[in-house]
Parts: sequence; C-alpha cells; structure tokens
Amino acid sequence: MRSLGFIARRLGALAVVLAVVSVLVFAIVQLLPGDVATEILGTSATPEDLAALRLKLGLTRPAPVRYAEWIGGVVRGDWGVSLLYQMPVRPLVLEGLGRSAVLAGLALLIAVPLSIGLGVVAALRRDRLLDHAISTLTLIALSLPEFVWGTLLILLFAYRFRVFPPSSMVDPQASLASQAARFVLPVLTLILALLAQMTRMTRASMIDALRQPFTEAARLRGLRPRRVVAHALRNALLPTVGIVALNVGFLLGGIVIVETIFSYPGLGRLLVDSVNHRDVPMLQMATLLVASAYGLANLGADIVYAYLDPRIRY
Amino acid sequence: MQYGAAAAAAAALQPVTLAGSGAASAAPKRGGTLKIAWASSPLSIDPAYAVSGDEYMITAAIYDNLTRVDEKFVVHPQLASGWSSNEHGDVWTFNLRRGVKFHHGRELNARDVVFTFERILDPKNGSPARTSVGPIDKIEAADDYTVRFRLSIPYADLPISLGTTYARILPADRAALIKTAPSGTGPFRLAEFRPGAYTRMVRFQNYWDPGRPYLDELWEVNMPAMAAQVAALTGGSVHAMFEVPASYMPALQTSGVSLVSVKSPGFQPLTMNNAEKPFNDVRVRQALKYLVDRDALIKAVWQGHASMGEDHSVPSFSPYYAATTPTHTYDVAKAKALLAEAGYGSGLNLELWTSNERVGLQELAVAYQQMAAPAGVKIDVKNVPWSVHVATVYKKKPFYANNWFGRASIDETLYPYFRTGGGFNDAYSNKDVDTLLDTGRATIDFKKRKEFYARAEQVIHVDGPWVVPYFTMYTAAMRSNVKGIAVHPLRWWDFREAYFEG
Repeated sequence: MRSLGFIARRLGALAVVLAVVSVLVFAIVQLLPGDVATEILGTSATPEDLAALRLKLGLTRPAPVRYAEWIGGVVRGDWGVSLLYQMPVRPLVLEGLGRSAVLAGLALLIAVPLSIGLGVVAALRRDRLLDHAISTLTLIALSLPEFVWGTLLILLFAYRFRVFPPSSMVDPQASLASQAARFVLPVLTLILALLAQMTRMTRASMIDALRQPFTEAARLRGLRPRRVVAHALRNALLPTVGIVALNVGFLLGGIVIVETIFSYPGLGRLLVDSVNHRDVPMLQMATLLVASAYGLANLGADIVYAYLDPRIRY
Repeated sequence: MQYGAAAAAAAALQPVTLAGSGAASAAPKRGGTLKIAWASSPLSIDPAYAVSGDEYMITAAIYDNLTRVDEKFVVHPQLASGWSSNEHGDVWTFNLRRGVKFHHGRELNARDVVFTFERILDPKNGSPARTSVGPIDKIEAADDYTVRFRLSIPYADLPISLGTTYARILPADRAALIKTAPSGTGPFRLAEFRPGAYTRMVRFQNYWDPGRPYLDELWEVNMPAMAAQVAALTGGSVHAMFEVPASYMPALQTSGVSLVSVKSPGFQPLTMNNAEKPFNDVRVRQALKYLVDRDALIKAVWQGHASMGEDHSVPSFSPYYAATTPTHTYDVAKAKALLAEAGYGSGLNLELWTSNERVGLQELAVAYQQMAAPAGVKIDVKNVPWSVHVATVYKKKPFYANNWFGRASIDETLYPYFRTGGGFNDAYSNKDVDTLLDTGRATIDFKKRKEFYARAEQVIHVDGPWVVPYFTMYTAAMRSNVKGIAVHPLRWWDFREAYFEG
C-alpha cells in the first residue's frame, strides 16, 4: 500500500511538472519572432491581410487569456484545434505518438538486451580483445551523429543495394512484409545511437559488481559461474535501468532527426513542424505528451529499481 | 475582342510556341498510382490561403480554374469556354462550360464563380489573394453560365490572373467545408490529407474532360531528406521528385530516371531599402550592382543552373523582356568611383540579412561579401531561419537577400515590387516607373504594352532598389515511364494528362 501511495504522489508531481511545462512552452512561443499568421501567409502578405487573419484565428486577444482558454479546454478533455491545419489536435498528436512509440519500442526491444549482453561479455572479458572490440565498435556507433548514420544507411541499403526502402512512409496499401522492411533502417539507426551508452554503463557496473564481496562470497560458496554472473548482473543493472528510462523520453521526443531522414510521420516531426509554424495548440499537446513519457518512464524505472533491489522501498 | 477555345492565347501574350499541354503523341494508358515526393508538407488545402508548391499541386488536382496558364505562359480555357472584354478593358465576360460536376454531385454554375471571388475579395477573410487576383471591383452572374468581372481599372492580364493558384473555383454550397472536406470540379478527389505524411487523391469518375485523368490515384508524399527522395525515386517507390538541388543531379543520372530542367522566373534579389541611408543615393545602389560577378555566382552557387539577371524581375525568356544598358559587369574601379562620388570613398559598412533555409540564399550573401570587399564595402552577413526572415527581415531590414519564385503575368512580375505602394515593395518610388506600369497594365495591345514594359525595365535596371544577379532554373525528376507532365517554370504540377507508359 505504501508503494501505491508513492505512485500516486509521483503522478501528482508529474501533473505539476506538466502544468509548468505548458506555461513555459506557451511563454517561449510568444517570444519567438513571427506567428502562425505570418507562417500561413508568407512573404506575399499585406499588413491588412495579416490583421484580418489574426482576428480570425483569435490571435489578437492577450496571451494570458488565450492560455487560460487552452488549459481550460485541456482540463475538460478538449485538446483544441490546430491553427495551421484547422483540424482537431487530438487525433494528429495521438497518431504521431503511436507511430513514434512503435519506432522507439522496436529500437528499445532490440537495443536493451543487446547492449546488456555486450556489456556483460565485455566485463567478463575485461581488457581482452573482445572487450576492446566491443567498446571500439559501440564508440564508433556513438561517434557518428544519427543524421550521418541515417544518410549512410540509405545510400548503402536503399540507393546502392536496394535491400530496404529509404522511407518509412506509412502506406495503408502495402503488405505487412514490406511495412516491416520499412522499419529496418530507422530502427537500426536508433540502435546505433543507443548502444554505446547502455553497453558502457552495464560493463562498468558489472565490473564493479564482480569485485564486490557478495560476488566473491557466492563464488567461494561454490556457485556455478553462470549463477555468479546472474547474481552480479542483478546488482549491476540498476544504473542501466535509469539510462533506459531516460532513453524512452529521448526516443519519443528526440527522434526528430531519424523521423525526418526516413520520412517517418511521428511525434518528433510534429513537434518540429509546430514550432516552425508557431502552431501553439499542437505544440503544447505534443510537448505535454513527451514530458509525460519522460515522467512515466522515470516512474517505471523507480518501480523496477525496487524490484531489482529489495532494499529500496518507497 | 473575342477569345474562344480555338484562339486560346489571350491578347498581350507571346505567340503560341507550343500547342497542347505537353501530352505525348502515343495514346495514353489508363490506370496506375503516381507518387510524387516533396521535402515540405502542405499546410493549407484551401486555395485562397495556399502559398507553396505542394499546396498548389493538391489544389490543382482537386479544383479547376476558369483559365489554364501553360508552361509557356499561354492561356487556355478550362472551366471558361471563352471570354471577351469591352473596348476599354475594364469589363470582362466569361462563358462557363456546361455540364461540369463538382465531386459532391452538383453542377457548376455562375454563382460558384461569384462566391469564389467574393470570398477572396472580402477583407475579413485575410486571404493573400485579395491583392493579387487582379483589380476586381465587382463580379456578377449575368445568367447561370455567364460571369462578368467589373474592374477598377483596365487590366489586360485578367485571363492570366484567373489561371493562377488562388483562383480555383469553389462550390458556393460548401463554404464551411473547404479546409476539411473539399469538393471541386477537378480531376481528382481528396481521399486523405495527412499533414507531415502524405496526401492521397483518387480519380474523379465524372470529370468533365472525357477520359481524363488517366491515373487512378495521385499521392503527394512528404520526404524531408533529399537522400531518401533520391533513393526512393531510383528504387521506384516514388515516381517523381518535386525539386532536385544541383548537388543531387549526378545521383539521378541513371537509367529509368529523367531529369527535366526549365528556366524559371524565380530570382534571389539583394534588396535595398532606398528610403534609408546609404541606399537613398542612386550611386550607392549602382555601385553595389557593379560589385556582383554574375557568372561566378551562377557557377559557384548554382553549378551553372541559372541565367543572368539584370537587376529587375523580368527574365530573358519573357515576351516582355528587353535588353538593358549599361551591362552591370563586375567592375571594382567603377564601383569605387561611384561610392567616392556619393561620399563613401573611405568605405562602407553594411549588414546583409539572409537565410540558410532557402537553397542558394546563404551562399549568395557570403559570395557577395567577398566580391564587394575589394571596393571597400565591408559586409556583415546575418543568417536567420526562414520563419524569422519572413517575420523580422523581409521589408523591415534595409539590406537583405530574398527568394521569389516569379509570377505568371507581366503585371504581377513588376507592379507589386516596383510600383509606389506595391504589395512587395519596400520603399521604392519613381514617377516614371509608376506611369509606365500603370499604362502597361491597362494596355491591351501587345506591341504597345511591350514598349511600356521595356522602358520600365530600363529605368529599374539603373535606378531600382534591387541587385538581381540571376534567375534560377527549376529541375524536377521523374521515372522515365511517366508521361504527359509538362514541367512548369512556376513549379505548378498538373496531373490531368499524366500517365504511365507501357
């Protein structure tokens, strides 16, 4: 019951964080030069046209009034209408969130076990050839930014050798198999970006755990090496869990670059477009979703900590 | 004056150099889904607010205009079967095609045309089209199939204006649905509009032009990364690329892909506000015009894919173009002399604003900085994102690089930029230019008209507020089996005649 209370408290804190985020984002957009009217009308706009459009879009009222109206709507479950597309925000951002979640989920599903495995192997073969190979390769993967990896993978696997499609454009008419093929390159790009950090963290904490008295004790009690490793791993995983949680947030909001290179219409793209075009209602909801993802992932990490380490109780 | 389907080209235009709409001679085949890749994503599918190429393409597929402006800027009938003007040129009558159906089933009539233009002209709607569809004072339905435009001044370019992107004909009975569930008379119906992903359009069975369109489906696909576009086109998962930057052309010189380049009326001026010092002195403006090495810019910035500009907005392929004198070749000594005469013999410090989000614009500013330096003109290049450029630089800073795609009619090519009080004019005001542009737009006779415009070009060339180093070219790419598409200098895409060969 105490842990339920903890979860409730954390959710309450998350609500406060979201409220603060929404005020900050709203305020920052007001400070940016230009607004959605200059975006819609472009360079050919006359001052009269801009004034008329602003009146039509309700942009002439004071910012606090607009914010109050928006937040009132959100509390009542009305997510507002995109200023740019004149379409309801809710289906647009939820669709984007769903797509990004699929991409992020696939990447995590592969990258997490893979990097933990690599980290453990590197720790067990510490300072041997395999360890050096793993750390060099993961470091290379990390050293090149995603837009370089993405472009390289497209040039290699979609342009030179036509193995995988270059675009992840969702195509309702395509077969399931070809849909799956569309995920290969973007997911691979994300895995390359995720791998190094988690592998290195696992390796470091695994080496540390293998040195601890409890591991030594387990070994002296005559446990089979495999059991000893499992014993050490459970203790070594704690910092990795924290990194995974941070990566969930990063993947949902920060995979803008991968989504752009592979034409993947997810939440990251929606965020960038709505900032560029000053589409405040859309930007607000997209930001809140990303912030929620960070908050919930961290909450999840805390729960996993408690499971991994019985000493931790909330 | 009477114009009909047979004599399609309106007065005041160049002679018809190419008849037809670019369709190949072999009998086109029905069927297929054509996908075209765009780096941008459409924002508005409401023609009165559409301001970018992807939006134009979608509205051209969903709607028809009264007239159609082809890739040679020749006017053809579309929903209008013919038109005529009074002697004075300020009352124009358009006859509508009969039996044209909207996607929602109703037949087109004159009230739809009246609705369309009244919607644009209502200042409450804030449409950017209001000031650019022509000097329309009043539009009325004479009967079900005849509309009459009463103009505030005689205006020879009205048939061209009515063929431009804003003037798509909307249904009068669906005013509230234009942004979300559009219905037009065009060859394709909107099936899905997914901002940031794709727009899917399907063949309209009851299109008035028999047999057309040939395609079953038309997709506008949003692919922001050029590398992805190139791979998708060469791999065949898309069939056309809206625009190919020069650096990607070699990758597309491969079998199965056709690159198509056309000279465009688009240009990138260095814009000076001549109400402010030092640009209020014509000698300073002239000096800055002598400090551009145009050949070098065309080679360095555009890899040769551009043509020479003469510091005004009329490209050399326009029927209204006339050569100007003196030629502004790169001449540091002359520029120095002019600056010294103007009192800037010890040098000049300028801020030049530009944006890295339009191809070529930043390179232009940086190259110009180097070219101007030997004359003692020290330029500080200020680079901003395009949305900031639109909001805080355009018409606000005294010296900036800008990006224009060009316009269909000669009036729209000159008037808004150089007429006192013109919509895109920073502060330029010259009585001679005003008189010439006012007379030109009201003159129906092509020869007389051309003379007025030639004189305006000469004055602007010497006195005007712009350095126009070059006109850009427009290059698109298609799969080689895609036929029936004439690449348009204004980047307008029309899929009425498009089909897959073989």
